Amino acid sequence: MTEGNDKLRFEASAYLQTLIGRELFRSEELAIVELVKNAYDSGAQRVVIAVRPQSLKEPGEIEIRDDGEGMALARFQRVFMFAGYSDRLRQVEDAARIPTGEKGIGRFAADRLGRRLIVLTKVKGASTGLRVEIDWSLFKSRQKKFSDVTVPYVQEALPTFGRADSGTILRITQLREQWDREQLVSLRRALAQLLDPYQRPTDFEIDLQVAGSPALSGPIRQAPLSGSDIEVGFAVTEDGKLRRWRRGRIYEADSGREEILAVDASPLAGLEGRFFYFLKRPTKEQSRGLLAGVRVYRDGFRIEPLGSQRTDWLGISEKRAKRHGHAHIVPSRLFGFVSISRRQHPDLKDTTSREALIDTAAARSLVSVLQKQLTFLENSILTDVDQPRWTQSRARKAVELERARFQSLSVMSFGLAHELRQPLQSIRFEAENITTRLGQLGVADPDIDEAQRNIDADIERIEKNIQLIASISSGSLETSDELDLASVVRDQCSFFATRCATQGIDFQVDVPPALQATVNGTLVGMVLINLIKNAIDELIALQDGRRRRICVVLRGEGPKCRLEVSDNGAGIPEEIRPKIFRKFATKKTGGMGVGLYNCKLLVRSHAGEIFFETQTGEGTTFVVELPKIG
Amino acid sequence: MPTDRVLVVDDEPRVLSSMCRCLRLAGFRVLSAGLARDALTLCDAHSFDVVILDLIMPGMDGVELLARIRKVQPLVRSVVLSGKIDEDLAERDIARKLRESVEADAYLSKPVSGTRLVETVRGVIVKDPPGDWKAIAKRMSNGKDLKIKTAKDAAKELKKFRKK
Repeated sequence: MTEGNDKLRFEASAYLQTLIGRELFRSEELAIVELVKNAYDSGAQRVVIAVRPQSLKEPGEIEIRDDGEGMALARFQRVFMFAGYSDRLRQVEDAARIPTGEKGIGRFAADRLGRRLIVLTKVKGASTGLRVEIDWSLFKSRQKKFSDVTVPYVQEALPTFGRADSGTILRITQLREQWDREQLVSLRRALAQLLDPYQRPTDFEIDLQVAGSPALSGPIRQAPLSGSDIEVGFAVTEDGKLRRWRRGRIYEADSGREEILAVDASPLAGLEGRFFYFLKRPTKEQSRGLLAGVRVYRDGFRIEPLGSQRTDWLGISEKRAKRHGHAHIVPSRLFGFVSISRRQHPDLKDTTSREALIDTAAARSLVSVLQKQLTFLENSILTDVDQPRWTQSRARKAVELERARFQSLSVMSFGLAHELRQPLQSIRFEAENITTRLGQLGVADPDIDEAQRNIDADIERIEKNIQLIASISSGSLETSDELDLASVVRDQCSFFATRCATQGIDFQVDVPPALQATVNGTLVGMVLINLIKNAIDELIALQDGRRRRICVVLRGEGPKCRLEVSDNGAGIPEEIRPKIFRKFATKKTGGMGVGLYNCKLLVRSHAGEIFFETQTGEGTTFVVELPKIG
Repeated sequence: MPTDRVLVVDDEPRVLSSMCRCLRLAGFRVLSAGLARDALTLCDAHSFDVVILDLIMPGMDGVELLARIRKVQPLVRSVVLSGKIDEDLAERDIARKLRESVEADAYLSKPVSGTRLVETVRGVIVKDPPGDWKAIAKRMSNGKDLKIKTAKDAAKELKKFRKK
């Protein structure tokens, strides 16, 4: 194919149309969306999509009718019949409406829908209109040139249009799809995506009419999102200030705070936007069928591709990637709706490549304002969701760690207790053997008898301690059992009676005969031992000659059990009172490895509380409250 | 009163020797074994009135050992002296638990006093030997509940047992 001597030119086969029409449009629904956008670009106020699904009696048909400017023959030839042609660029400059597309191939979407297309179009004031019939199967040939395929047309009176009317009707027949209910629902959803859920378009309406289905018929509306966890809304006031509010599920209903920020965003005056954030992937019901993304609507009609899956025009994914996933906003849970208007924001225009807005001061300002609101959202997520969550998980981990530590300690002390018992047994036998043998040899002596009794008493005491270790180390800290708390407390206290007596401490136990409760006995035992040991340590360190006393009190109070351990020691010094339950606040973690910090963690993990009352020079009372049914 | 013979089995050498001394001083004839294997050898050579054993021992546990001793000495009394640490602090509860795993005549937990041990051993000896032939046959057949319905069955079992 040559022209002249030194020029080559491309030719396209007719099949190119088939490639574009059938393969470029991902689905039937999107093909219709493309045709609706064409209608919008032609200045239509209203577009009606009438679908008659295929039935046994009748073949299916789709009719898309708009009240746009229509086309006369010359324009039809120049525009419609010219693949890839678009004069929308010119329209960007002067049209009342900024077009949604300028690729110039939207019309081929009709091929995706059906084998035949009838176009009826008429301009305002003309007495006749144009009727063109296209049989897409003619384009199947790979040998024919694109331009060799001809389509017949007639100019005739079109009864459906009045003389003053203008518009275009695309009648698609011999449909390629059945158009079942599911697909029609999906179509409604796809069409709804074009519309701003928060500022309904004032000059464009889409109406879907499905023959025989009133439920699927009616004007298309996009419903607003519901049930987001955090919502940040903002609006630029006439004087260029930013009004911002925040609410959502994680906030109290009346805590929505509103503020006015003194920023200079005057080119964006009138802009409104909303960010919705879900802490978990939202359900279809919550997202109203929308995919995540920050969309921009001009006068209620979506500007694509802003907010589509492959654009990251606000740099959210980029930020996330840079932070190795540590950013607080997960793009798939963020929905944004930004409303601008042609009248108020003439500088916000789309680029021809439709990759973004044309880089103007206004567009930069828009991106910057939106990014600042995203940062505000991000900080809200950080302070109101993530940080509380971290604190919670830290506490949970600490409890788990404490349990693990306890378990390994258990295993060790279990073996230790067993080990101790063996030599204790032989000491006991041998001590008695000596006495017995001496008796047999005729030696009777009160000192020997007393020595024997002392050894026995000490063995009993060591045995008590072994049992104490065993009782704690064989328990579990997780489950609660129905038990008599009074006897648990009494048993644990009995281990300390001897110890207190030898130290000259008056040990009082004031426990009811029985107190049924569903609690963790091991936990109560550990906390009690810890508190009594602390009290003993405190009293031993006392230098003055006062009569030293420890008092353990157990009471059932309504739904709670209250356990008190008090001493009449020196009291807790004022400066360490606030941090007594913190880790490393006390050196007295003791041999069991459970300090007050651990006590608090464990008590809290069983929905209880631990606190103290202290008076310098008078003594301290630690109080543990646990739910009776924990 | 003829001197009663006691077999003591414990894997702790000093527990073993002190216990033997204690029983010897109380007038028993005592033999001891630190291993289950040695205990069985002793049972082949001597007959005992009482066997005292710990349940946790390396090599063979007390339950199995007792069963094997009973095979050769069906009439022997048994005292289990357990060093096992149990979450139940009450001795009675420990005994109840032990009884579930092995049937003995008495249960004690370490550390027990010598006096108590001697009293217990005397106590199980004084008890009448099991006159119930069913019980004896059952013991010999390693606790398995054989179909011993009549004295003839029991005699058959005893004959079988002696052959072994």
